[in-house]
Amino acid sequence: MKKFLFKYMIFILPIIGPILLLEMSVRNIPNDYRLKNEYMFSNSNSIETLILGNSHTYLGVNPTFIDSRSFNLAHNGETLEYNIKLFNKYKKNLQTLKVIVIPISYGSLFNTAIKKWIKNYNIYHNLKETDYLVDNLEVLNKNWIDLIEDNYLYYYLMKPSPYLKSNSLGWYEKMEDNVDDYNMVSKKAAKWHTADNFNQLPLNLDLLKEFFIECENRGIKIIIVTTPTHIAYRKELDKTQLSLTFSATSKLAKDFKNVSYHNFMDNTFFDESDFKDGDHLNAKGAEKFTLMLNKIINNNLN
Amino acid sequence: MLFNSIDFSVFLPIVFVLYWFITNNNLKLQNLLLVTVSYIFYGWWDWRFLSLILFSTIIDYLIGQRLNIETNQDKRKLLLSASIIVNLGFLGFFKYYNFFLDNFINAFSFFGFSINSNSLNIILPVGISFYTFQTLSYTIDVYKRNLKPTDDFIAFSAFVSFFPQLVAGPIERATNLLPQFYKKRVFNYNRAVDGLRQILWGLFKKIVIADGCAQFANEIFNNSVDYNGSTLFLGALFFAFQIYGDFSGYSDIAIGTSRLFGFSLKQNFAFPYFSRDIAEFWRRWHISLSTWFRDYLYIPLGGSRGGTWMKIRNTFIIFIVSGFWHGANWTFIVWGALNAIYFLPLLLANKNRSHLGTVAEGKYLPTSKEIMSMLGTFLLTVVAWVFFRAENITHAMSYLNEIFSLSFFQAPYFRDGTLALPTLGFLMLFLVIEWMGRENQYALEYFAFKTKRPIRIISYYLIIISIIWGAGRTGGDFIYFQF
Repeated sequence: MKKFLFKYMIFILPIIGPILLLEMSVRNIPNDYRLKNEYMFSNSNSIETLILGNSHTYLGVNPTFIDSRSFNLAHNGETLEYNIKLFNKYKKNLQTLKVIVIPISYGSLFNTAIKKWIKNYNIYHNLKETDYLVDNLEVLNKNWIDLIEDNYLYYYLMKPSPYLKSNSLGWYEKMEDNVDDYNMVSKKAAKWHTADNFNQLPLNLDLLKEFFIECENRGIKIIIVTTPTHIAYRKELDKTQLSLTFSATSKLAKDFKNVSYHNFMDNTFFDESDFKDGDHLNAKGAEKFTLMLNKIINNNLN
Repeated sequence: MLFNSIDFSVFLPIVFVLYWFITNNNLKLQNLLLVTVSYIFYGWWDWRFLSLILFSTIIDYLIGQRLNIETNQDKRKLLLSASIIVNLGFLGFFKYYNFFLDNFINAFSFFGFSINSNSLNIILPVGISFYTFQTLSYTIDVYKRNLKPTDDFIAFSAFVSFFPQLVAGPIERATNLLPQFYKKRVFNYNRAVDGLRQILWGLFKKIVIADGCAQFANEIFNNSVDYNGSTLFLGALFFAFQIYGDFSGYSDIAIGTSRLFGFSLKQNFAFPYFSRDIAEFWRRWHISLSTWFRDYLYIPLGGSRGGTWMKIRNTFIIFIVSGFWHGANWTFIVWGALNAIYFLPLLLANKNRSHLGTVAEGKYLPTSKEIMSMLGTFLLTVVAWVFFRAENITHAMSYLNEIFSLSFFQAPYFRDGTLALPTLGFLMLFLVIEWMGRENQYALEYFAFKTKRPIRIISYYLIIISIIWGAGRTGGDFIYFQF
């Protein structure tokens, strides 16, 4: 028995040892998920306005320009299902919360969680959604050469973390430059956001209804927004999916007293200089949009 | 709990240590530990359904004891019926209730009668088809007086719920597994190493082969209307290896894990894709289920004795029931019937036992005749797998129609097709290893005896690296969990 265990350890160590070391060192590099998790644990009892959502609110809503105490909990590619899961995860501590901003974008009601991002919620937000190895280990989700390079840059050359794009209030601060060709990227993004089928729609609507009821019981107002988009993006969208999105969202706002819907998708106040690409605002656009949103939040707080 | 989960990777070493270091001096305690950890293993998925296993265990334990002392044949029959009704009743309700209801309503509406009835939202308990068959084998064997019933409730509970094979087999016979719980298990180094080797091979089959193929099989089957015949054929090939890797991989992990605890389970897959005819395929595919149906259904029905019609009837019954066992869908029934159609000519010509040994035994390469017969058998199974995988009969028929159209001669193309190249490479390597190891219990066993130590160790490391690589690309349930 001892021989078996000893030989097994000797055999497995050269593989498992480096993997565990790499896993631990990668997890130790600051990233957006960890930052937001830590903020929610230490400051959630003072948040008045919580921004949920996907990259559209992650990039587009900068809490610096909101009068009430706010935090942006949105992550790239986050689905409505995960928006609500994160709210449920931290809701116990959100005693001062009065307003939630949640985006419903063109693809929001029709998509499901992207596999490669699930591990972030399992590891850093401790959601423990699945127990597959791939959903619980960083090293199974990234190219090892990139991981070693990221470790080298962060620990040895003391460069900033490549995984941390948010500022202390959760807004996507380290924004990339605006794209050169809005038409090309918009076409790609629209194709990506257009659903193959509408099977997910009733499931997402049910999730939202349940969430709105809970918020109503807790006295929390919901502001649904569709964030501004570039014209190049809008013209690539499927009309049926778009009209379904608008009609279903408007109906939700009508059905729930604590919910209002504000559609900025084709708001003329925004021009090309406000967009990073077809469907994301840049820092300038985010400031303009957040200031507009701030008025709506203030109206809801009064 | 899944074998390819992080929870199991923690669970197994803990159980191993408790089993061999804490409870090893007390057989009863060791069996109790196995029952406890098996219930934890199962309850990890949904604890509510533990009551079904417990109920089934108690019923069959009590019936087994009564069968032993009862001499009146009518009463013995009644006791056996009770066991069958309870076990198949659970299975029927959880697995087939909605199927029968929907078909009943459809049949009535066909004749112009309208019936309003709602399907129930029933969750299928994981592994119910496996453990109900396992406990049934116990009562049937006791009824036939092939097995002495056990007085040891803990040992019997451990037999029913033994975690390595609880949720997806192999379906063990009480005659093989139950007596192993009566004897003190002694740790055997070579057997434990062999167990680890089989687990490693099972993980490779599941994560690299099955999950690798699944990505492309799913893409092609789910969007079959978008693809030409050659791509659909490729999709069916991917599925053939997905299901083989998935299910035989699970069996390998189950058998290997059992070996770590000193148990010996029966071989469940014996290189079925190297079969020279369908009869041989069915002797090599899911052996524990095929032999279960053979012993408890086919032979009691009269088997291949009697006239031609009797043989035809019994063959169709066993294949259709086997298909239906896999799921409450007409696709599985057609899959079973199709295999019966493949099998019948061999049976009627008395050629169903022509190939009892291993193909090209003791040789490196098969003859051209053997290659042709293996290829022919494999293609027949691929056609049948289309029904197994399809959403419904219409989907399967349109899928096959496209394969058998002129578009079969166009070049295959599918979304992210270039990403399939590594999987195809692994598939080739896998087939080579399987071929080399085809005379063993599992392919990797060949390396243990036929290669030098350094090559063996390097091979194991390469397999581990490919598993880690594969785990990063995929990750999913075992298909047979749904059965």
